[in-house]
Amino acid sequence: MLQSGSFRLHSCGPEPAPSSFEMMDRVVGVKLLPGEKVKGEAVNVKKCLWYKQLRKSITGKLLCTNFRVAFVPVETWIPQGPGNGSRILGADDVALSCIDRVVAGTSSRTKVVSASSSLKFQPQELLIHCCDFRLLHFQFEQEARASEIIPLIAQSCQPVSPRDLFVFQYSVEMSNNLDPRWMNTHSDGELYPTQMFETHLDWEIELSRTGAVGWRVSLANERFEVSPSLSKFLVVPRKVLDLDVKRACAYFNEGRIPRWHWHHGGSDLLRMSNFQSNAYTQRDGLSKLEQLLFGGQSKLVIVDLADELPTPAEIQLAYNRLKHLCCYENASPFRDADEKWLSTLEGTRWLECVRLCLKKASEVSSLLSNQCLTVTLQETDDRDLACLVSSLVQVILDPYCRTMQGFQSLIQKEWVEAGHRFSDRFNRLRRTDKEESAVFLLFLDCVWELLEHYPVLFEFTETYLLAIRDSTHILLFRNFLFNCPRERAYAQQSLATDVRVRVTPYTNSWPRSRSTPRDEQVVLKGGFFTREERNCPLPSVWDWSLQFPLEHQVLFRSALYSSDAQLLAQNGTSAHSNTDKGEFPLPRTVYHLTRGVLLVQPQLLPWKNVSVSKKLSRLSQSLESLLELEQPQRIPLSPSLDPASLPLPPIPAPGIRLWKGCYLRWPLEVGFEAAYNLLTALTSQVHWLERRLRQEADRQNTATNGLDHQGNHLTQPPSPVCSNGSDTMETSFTTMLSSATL
Amino acid sequence: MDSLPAKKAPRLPAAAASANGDSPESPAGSHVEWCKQLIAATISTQLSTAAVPDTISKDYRVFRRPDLRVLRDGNKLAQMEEAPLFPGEAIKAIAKDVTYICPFIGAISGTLTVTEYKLYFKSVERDPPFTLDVPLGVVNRIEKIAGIQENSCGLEIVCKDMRNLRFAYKQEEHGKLEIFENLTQFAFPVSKNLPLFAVKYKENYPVQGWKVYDPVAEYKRQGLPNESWTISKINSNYELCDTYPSVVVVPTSVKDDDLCKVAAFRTRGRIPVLSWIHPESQATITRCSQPMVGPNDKRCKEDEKYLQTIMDANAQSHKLIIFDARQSSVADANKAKGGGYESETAYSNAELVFLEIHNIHVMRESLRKLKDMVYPVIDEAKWLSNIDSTHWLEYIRILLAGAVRIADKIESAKTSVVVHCSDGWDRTSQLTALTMLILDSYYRTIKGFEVLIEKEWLSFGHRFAVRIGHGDENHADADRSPIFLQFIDCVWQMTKQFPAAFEFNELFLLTILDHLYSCLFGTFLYNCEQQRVKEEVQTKTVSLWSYINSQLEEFTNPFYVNYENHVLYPVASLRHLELWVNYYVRWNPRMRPQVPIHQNCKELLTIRAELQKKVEELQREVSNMAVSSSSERASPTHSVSPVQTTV
Repeated sequence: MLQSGSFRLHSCGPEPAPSSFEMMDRVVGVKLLPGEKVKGEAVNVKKCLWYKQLRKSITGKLLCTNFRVAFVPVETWIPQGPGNGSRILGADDVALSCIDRVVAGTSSRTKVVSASSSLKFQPQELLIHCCDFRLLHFQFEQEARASEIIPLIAQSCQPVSPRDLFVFQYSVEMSNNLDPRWMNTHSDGELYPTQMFETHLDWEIELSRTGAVGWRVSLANERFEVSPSLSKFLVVPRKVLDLDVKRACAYFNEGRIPRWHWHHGGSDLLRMSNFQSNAYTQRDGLSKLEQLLFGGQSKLVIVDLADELPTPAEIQLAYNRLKHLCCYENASPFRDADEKWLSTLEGTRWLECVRLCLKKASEVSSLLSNQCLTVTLQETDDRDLACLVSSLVQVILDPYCRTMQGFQSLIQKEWVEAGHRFSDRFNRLRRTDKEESAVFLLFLDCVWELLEHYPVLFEFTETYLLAIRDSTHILLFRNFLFNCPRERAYAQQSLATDVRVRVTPYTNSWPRSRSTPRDEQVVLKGGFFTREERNCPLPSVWDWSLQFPLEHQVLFRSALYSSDAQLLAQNGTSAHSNTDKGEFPLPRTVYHLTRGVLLVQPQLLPWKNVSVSKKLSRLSQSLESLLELEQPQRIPLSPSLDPASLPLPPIPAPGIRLWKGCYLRWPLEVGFEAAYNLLTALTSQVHWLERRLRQEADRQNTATNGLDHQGNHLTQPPSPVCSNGSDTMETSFTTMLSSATL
Repeated sequence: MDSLPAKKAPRLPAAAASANGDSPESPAGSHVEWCKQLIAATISTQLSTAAVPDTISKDYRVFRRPDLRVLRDGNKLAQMEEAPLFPGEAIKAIAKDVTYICPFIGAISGTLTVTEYKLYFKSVERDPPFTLDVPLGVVNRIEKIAGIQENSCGLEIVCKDMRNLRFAYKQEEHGKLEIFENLTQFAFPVSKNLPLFAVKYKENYPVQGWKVYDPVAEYKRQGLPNESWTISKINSNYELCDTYPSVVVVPTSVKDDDLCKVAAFRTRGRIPVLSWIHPESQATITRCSQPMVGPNDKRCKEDEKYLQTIMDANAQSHKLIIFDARQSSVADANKAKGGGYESETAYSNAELVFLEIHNIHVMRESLRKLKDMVYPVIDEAKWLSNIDSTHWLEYIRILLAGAVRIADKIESAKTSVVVHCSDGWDRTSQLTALTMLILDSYYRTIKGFEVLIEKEWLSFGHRFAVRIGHGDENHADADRSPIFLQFIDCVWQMTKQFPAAFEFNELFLLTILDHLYSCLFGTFLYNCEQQRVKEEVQTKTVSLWSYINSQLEEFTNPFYVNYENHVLYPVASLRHLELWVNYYVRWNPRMRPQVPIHQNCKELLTIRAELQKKVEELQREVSNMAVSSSSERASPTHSVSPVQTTV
């Protein structure tokens, strides 16, 4: 299929020899990943640095592989945009999975190109809208090339089937360690060992870390019989038998039974889905259900997350509006629309979503702190806002969750293993837009707001949050790839078989010294994956070394954070040591948190969902009248339902800001180093000096020993982070001028 | 089962108190609501307090220390609620059982003290005690609200620093009547023909702040005088222009006679004089007032020649850009009043640019609206659009964009510029000072910023006394306007965009603004240099810079890196500007940072110092070793201390 000389379609024939990886890199100009193949390329492409204004353009070649779209400039001296430090993606690359829309255009018309659509005109321009709000703009000198590569890109970013995703080819290659360059990346290990909650042990550790008593890890869901969307491991009251756990699933949507997630002070945090509509008819298991719900406490608060919080659809709507505001107009950053910037921003309602989530999390947090009760988060399917609120609560109350290790473990526990539908919510397969929702991104935004206000209390930085965010758009990691643990387990199992099958030809063609394939460790041991699952072929996002060199990972750590061992150990006040968990204290009371008010629920089932009907609340907006209305039912819980006393008190509206470092980072105007980085640079320089001192000492020793010591040249110290200042200012200047002319 | 009152009691630490969303944050604002509060407050006072002997408060009118001791013995509560005093400060009146109606945490009962300098309210009702310490200089207006209910009396104090205070007390007690009189007297000393407190303030600081600015030294730093520019003595007695400094820099070749003629053609004699000169290109910023063109398009040969000379002094460009800060329509309208602008026909080679900045009245109105939005109650759901509707940030943007344009002409086009508005003391000061901040890294240091304020604002006659209304009870004066506040806001925006480029921190800017109103220091008093000399400000009062420079570590930015010779163009786009919440919304206890960032920064400074010391030690050690090993000359020539990193 060799048509115009500059456009080639590479046949996906037999894999090249390992040594050819480097050769390949040199030819294509991009460092390819194991398993990555170039599918097509076009030369003489101009990348426009300022869309529409066309201030500047770089000529180069546009590549499409099975993983990315890359742009390789001809002149290498051209200063590149600020690299994100990624090992995987260059500054001019975009992963296929990060492409939101492909638009072809001429001077007069534009068209969104999809995998199936055909171009009816000769495009001259290519616009790639990225999920991370970037907008790439290319111009073609020869239209023939454009009409070939544009459909190719559009097709490539539409996976035909889940197994088509690049990650599987990548993992197979990775697990075979074909390319020596990638061999060491695994062994760097994780800088911050994360509890993956993929094993029994991690849950046990979590139970003992939080000091929860009276709970056990149940294997009732080992074969995903209780709930197909839950983890294999469910933490339930010690008294409750597996049989009862299995029975309880009938009461709940998707069988997502109430299960323990976290313990603070004397309280436990549970999550569950809504009751099945016919639940109350099955009265026989009710007392068991109560045991499951109450845990060791006599008070139970059910927090209905449908109340006051935006729905996933509303979140997505807000996110799309935000994207439109920040991305699509980013090419001309100083438009007249700027004048109404704040109002428009408010109109997106994104910040309102952030505020409501933080508010709800504060409410729940204040319930949990200094009380002895069980708080159960309830959501229709318990897979979106429950993840969000539950993890925010823990970030607010638990200092451990503000460390990198703790935060990563938190995401594993509350999102990945709890079955947040990453695949659907990020619309990985691009079948339908209906399920898409930026719930996880909203969570990261909420954490950023907290980080902004309490920088001293977090171990990580904005850079770290951005790295997580960007990782969600690169489909290389098992964490953000699947809808639930079951999906992942199946994928990994079949992949393990794949690896075993495919290893054979390789070993035939070139004998390898390390011939023990890793896949053999992926076996079912005693019915569930043991810790060895870590070695499974699908990489984890928390292996940061896969993505970032250590120099960049330094920036994840906040210089302001003072790791206080005492703080870490303490998770709330353990004053209420409910050692006597043997007997359930009576009487038990069920409360319902709605609109910031606790209402007594006369009985658990039949569950009267929201006792203050929505209609009614719309009629009487003010809290006062609401209170009067509910007076007879309202029984206060304890004197301190005061969010102000939280370690991270709620942030009022003026404090909630747009995450500019994230949403506005592409039209790079304000390109200055975060102030923290300076301190990090200073610290690393001290380390450099210390190292150098050691080297000098060594050298002296060898010198006295009469040995030759040549060629032991020292490298330059790491340059301070701020050195890119001048370039940034130069480029940003042109835009400033246009602003001035407004 | 526990039980508690229906409404949860806000048990909050007073100063750092945070009222939560649904707590008794009153939807204040309306008069009715205020009256309700007042009644409620008075009732609660009556219930909670016993009668207090009149004598004590009467004693207090004699404000001498021994009396204080009598009082201490007499009343324990008063002792606890007594106000700390500055040297030279005396108590004028004390009233007990006054209720402060806090919009955030409700009514608090305590003792109100009025001194010559401040209003001090303290309540030991709460733990920790609640205190309110407000310099009387910030008071804009005091209103007495009486007769709502028998025996009750209210006091509303509207402040210049984005807050209002409300007190309630029982009327029949004689002592309390004096509170109002004392307040009005010492809040508005100028109107009452009393001296400002600054002249009584007798603190001794180790550093003499009045020495911060020496015009000749500053011009020397810029490389002046040179062959084209000279430091002139023509205004040494403020005869040429009474609102200009005594030391001005003018072109060498222009004769004094011609200068007088130029002065006659410019409003208030504010002739074009040099503010700043580019160290390399010799492009200059000159500032002046509008030419008095008038409706008949009057011309002045000397003025035209004068501008030509300014242009000629810069060999790099054959153009001169005149930036008129005003809106072109307003500039036109000014012609009718005898003012106007330079026509490009009369001034050959000159290009006139209007920066379209609104006048002082628009800015005052914008700030008034902003205050309504931020104090006391914030509409959470409409916060952003409410801020938008005040246009405050939009005006900040226009200012910054103007400064960026001017700076670009100097830096990129190497062209000299002339900046003026009508009188050349409001918008002109804002623009020249911001431009200099963009162009010259010296002004981004603490000392340099002080010099910048002294030079562009104080010496060039920004009318602080009129714009702020120091000690003046005429709160409706149309000449008041937050011009200087706007400038500081712009500086803050720049510090946000370039967090490591400024030596000072946010507290420094906040402190400047606080003492802009407080009248504790002499720095911002009076309208121009001539007045300050006449009033002997330097000998009679203390400089704000004495206070600041005596404790520099408080005001230093730990992340400061010297961006020497770097031009820092701020992004003048609304999406990169932010409302300065820590200033405008700081009275809202919920906005107060829970983690003391300031303390943290200070700690960081010490850590930095330690690290720096370590680096130096290691460096020395390494070089010693390199020398002793003598086999290789590997002494570290590369400086590794980023603290001195010059970008």
